[in-house]
Amino acid sequence: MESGNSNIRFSRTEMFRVIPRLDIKNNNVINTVGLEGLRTVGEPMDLATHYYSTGADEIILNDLVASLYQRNNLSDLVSEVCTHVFVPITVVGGVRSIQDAEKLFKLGADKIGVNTAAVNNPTLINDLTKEFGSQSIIGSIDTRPVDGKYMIFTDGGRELHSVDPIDWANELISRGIGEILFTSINKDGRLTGLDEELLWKIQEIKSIPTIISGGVGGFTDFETAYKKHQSGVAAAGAFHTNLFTPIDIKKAISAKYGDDYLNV
Amino acid sequence: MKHDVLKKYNLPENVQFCKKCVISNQRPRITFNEQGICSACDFAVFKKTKIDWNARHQELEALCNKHRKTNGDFDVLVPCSGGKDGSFVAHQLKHVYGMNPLTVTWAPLISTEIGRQNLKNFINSGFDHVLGTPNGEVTRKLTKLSGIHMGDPFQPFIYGQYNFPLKVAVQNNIQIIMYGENGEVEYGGDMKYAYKPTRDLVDQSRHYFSGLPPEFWSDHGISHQELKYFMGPSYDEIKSNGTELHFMGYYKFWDPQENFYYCQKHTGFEINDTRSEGTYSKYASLDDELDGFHYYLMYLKFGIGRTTSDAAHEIRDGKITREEGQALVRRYDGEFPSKYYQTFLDYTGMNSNEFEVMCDSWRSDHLWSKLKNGEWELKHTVFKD
Repeated sequence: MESGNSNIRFSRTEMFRVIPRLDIKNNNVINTVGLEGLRTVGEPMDLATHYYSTGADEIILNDLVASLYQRNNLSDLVSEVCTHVFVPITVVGGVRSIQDAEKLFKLGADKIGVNTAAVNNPTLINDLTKEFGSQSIIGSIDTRPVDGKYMIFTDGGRELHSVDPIDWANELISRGIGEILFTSINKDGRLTGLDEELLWKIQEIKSIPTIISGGVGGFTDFETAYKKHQSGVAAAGAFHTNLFTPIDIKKAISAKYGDDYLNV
Repeated sequence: MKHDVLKKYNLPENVQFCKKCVISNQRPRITFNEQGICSACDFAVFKKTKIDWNARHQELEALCNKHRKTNGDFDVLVPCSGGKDGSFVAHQLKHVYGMNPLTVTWAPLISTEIGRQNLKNFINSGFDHVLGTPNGEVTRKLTKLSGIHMGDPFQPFIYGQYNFPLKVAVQNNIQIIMYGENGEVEYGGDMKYAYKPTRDLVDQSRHYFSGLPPEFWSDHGISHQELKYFMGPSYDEIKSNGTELHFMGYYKFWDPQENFYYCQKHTGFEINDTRSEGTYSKYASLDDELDGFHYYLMYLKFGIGRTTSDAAHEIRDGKITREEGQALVRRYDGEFPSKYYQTFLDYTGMNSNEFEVMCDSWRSDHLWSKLKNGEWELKHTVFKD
């Protein structure tokens, strides 16, 4: 195990972020496994305020079913969360136009994440980043191996596209995207650890920040991602089941590696 | 030749959709009350509010106590393909009720890789298992014949699914067969099953074989010897063995989605990598490449596709709203199973023309109209009505 303050991350200078991810359907936070299932685990406002008060660097509100049901209805929730929670809020799900994004920014969202709409209409990314700036638009990529090769999925993990996630990430970058959130569908909801192969693959992306999600179950997952040059880790079930709080993770990283890269 | 679907299934001519879910009155044997609510939705409320589940749990304990064997012999048979429902039943009976289950699968027509993997995972998680695989040539013939004559190419599988466990029970001197849910009350049928843990064998043949048991096909050039493996034991054999068919859904609150969470944790259950064609789900009915054609023919006959069935029970289970269900039906219901279309043709030896003739013969005039461009359209949908 490496230790001390050695410069294990490369040239990125932004802080390492610990990010609770709230998967939302209607007014509930749900806990999926492999992006399947709709089991309710709590209320979005309760959990968002809890994570705000326990050290989250950012919170992702992910409308997991927006594309599946072809709607977007997080507006009320975004407005409420942004009134009470003062860390950056990223809203993912259901954004299909400049107008959809504008509405969410006006309600207080700091960043907008796009998956399905970007796959269906890639120029949307050019338009969004031109209008709102690269730093505020993130690409959300759900992926899992199919016959041994990683492929991207849309519509809440239901529609397969035979496109490699790294190729797709590079395309999004060429269209101006400012950050990418990778979610391992296979690992989602299992609390058994990150998708190591995916983590290894996404290290190739060096020009913009990347965040990994799916499978987080313990401190070592954050540590692994930190060492593998990730800008942050997004976790859902591990936080919802109170395995630890964001501040626990940050204190543990800080104790081991110093706080140079941490927002503590 | 057009089949008279209305008469054959005793369907009402005027299509009506349930006010609470997305099912229509075209589902055979479902009934609607004066408020326009279907019997399955009625039962869903009943199940949540009127049943004393603790008392039911005790009934199951009593049943298990009565039949539990201590000499190492099997004491309960669980039909289970390694899917979430059968695996849940088997795991509960073994680990919560202390039974010694034998599990049994009737082979899919063409098994999927994920299906084989799930069955393997299930067996490896700690279960004894018997697989019945019928003669492939005969199965292929029956698939084609039952598609043409019954509007359900899946019938040979359904024969085995119901008859093979009966046979294995007799062979192994097992008295209890424990199924998952009873579709006849969970999905609309007869409220008598809300109060009854078992199914009568007469209903079994009537409901699941549409009155046409395996013997019927001897008129279509398949010999008695070839059909034998699809048949159940004789009524006398079943009686003298004392076989009873029970449903776990009577004893325990039945929630397919919770079964999924349970089995991914306990029996190595894995979901499909994409949704199945014709629906949005990734965790249900994923072990046969050809089952899309069972659902597709159902869509042609009743205007009810796989999405409608899935969404209806998820609405009743409180997982999704009616509005969400309507959106899903609009988007996915009746989607043609194109991924395995060529496989289906190769398997049955049909050409695409024969396939279309078969489909059109089951497309009932009271449900479908032909557009100017030659496409078919449902006259009534739950998202427009």
